[in-house]
Amino acid sequence: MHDLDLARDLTDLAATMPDDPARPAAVQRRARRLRQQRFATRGVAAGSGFALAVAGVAIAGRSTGSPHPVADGPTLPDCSAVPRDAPKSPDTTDSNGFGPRAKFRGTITAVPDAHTIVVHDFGGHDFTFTLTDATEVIDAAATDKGAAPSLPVGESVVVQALGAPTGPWTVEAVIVHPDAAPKVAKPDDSPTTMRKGDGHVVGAPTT
Amino acid sequence: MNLSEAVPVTVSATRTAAYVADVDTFVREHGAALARTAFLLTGDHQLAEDLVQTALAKVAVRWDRVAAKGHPGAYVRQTMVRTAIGWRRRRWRGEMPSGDVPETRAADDLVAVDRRDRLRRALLTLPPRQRAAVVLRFYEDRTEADVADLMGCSVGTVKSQTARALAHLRTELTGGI
Repeated sequence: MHDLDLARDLTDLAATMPDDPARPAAVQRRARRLRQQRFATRGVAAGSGFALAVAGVAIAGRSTGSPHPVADGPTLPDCSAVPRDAPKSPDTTDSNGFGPRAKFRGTITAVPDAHTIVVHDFGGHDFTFTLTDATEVIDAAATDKGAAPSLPVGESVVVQALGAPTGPWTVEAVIVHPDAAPKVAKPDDSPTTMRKGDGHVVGAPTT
Repeated sequence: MNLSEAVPVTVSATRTAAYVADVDTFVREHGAALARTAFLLTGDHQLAEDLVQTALAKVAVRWDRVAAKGHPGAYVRQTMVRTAIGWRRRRWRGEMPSGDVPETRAADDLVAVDRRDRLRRALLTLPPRQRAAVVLRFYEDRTEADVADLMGCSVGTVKSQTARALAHLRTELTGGI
């Protein structure tokens, strides 16, 4: 087949294509529809992006505002900021209007002074607690309820603290030998006969 | 409504009217030629009309930028060729225009009709890229570089596609006799 024949035959074949007088209007209609589709697609994309951003901000806010102290151990406020002789606020004995009550279970790793203990919890974090006059120290395994419990290094304890909306945590109670008591008693309804302020640290302070 | 509010609307309306007029003029001037090429690319009158309208609508959407660069005809032709190649890949036939289907010429003799029909059928047996290469090279009489630019491939690819297409057409057209 010669190239010239092919060109002539193609021209002959193409000439059978009729012209459409309505083509300009049809093109305008299609262009308008195409433009609307693109506009709608952009709107959907922008809306989806905005929704994702709002959801991301909400999730981030929820995770940073988590009140669980054990999971966020290193970010907890330093309990040593509570002074021993601080005036007893009526709010510290009343959980209403306060933050969460948390329990720190671990081992005493240091006793820097007579009113401070450092507890290494099971989560691997070290927490420093300052005991105040309001702190109760309970020995769950003691047979003599009248004896004052001691807090030596290496002792297993459970520290119950109350988080204030603002400011440091308040140590409500320190329970020694918690394994001896399957249920940790709350300080308010504790059956112990100890009075508030009876707890104190025994042993040489470590640095 | 004060003047500061009325001016943007007036400008927008004027601009839209000018754009519509430009596109309409272009379609009237080049639409028929584009449709003939589209018919060779698709082998079907309705598909060809659909193809040329699709390509023109794509270009009309961004007419400002295309017209600013000059030679909107080349851009439309490139869009049409690449759309035709892509149609086969997607196995999509798009919209089928309805309404009155124009009749073809009735004064042809049977030999010419038969020859055209055989050529049309032979073209349809070609892959889209080979068909586009043959149409652009031999119907539109474009250079290999032009064809490569329109198809979005290299000159070597155009040469090989054209050679294969011609060999296939020879077999199809001479083998049937």
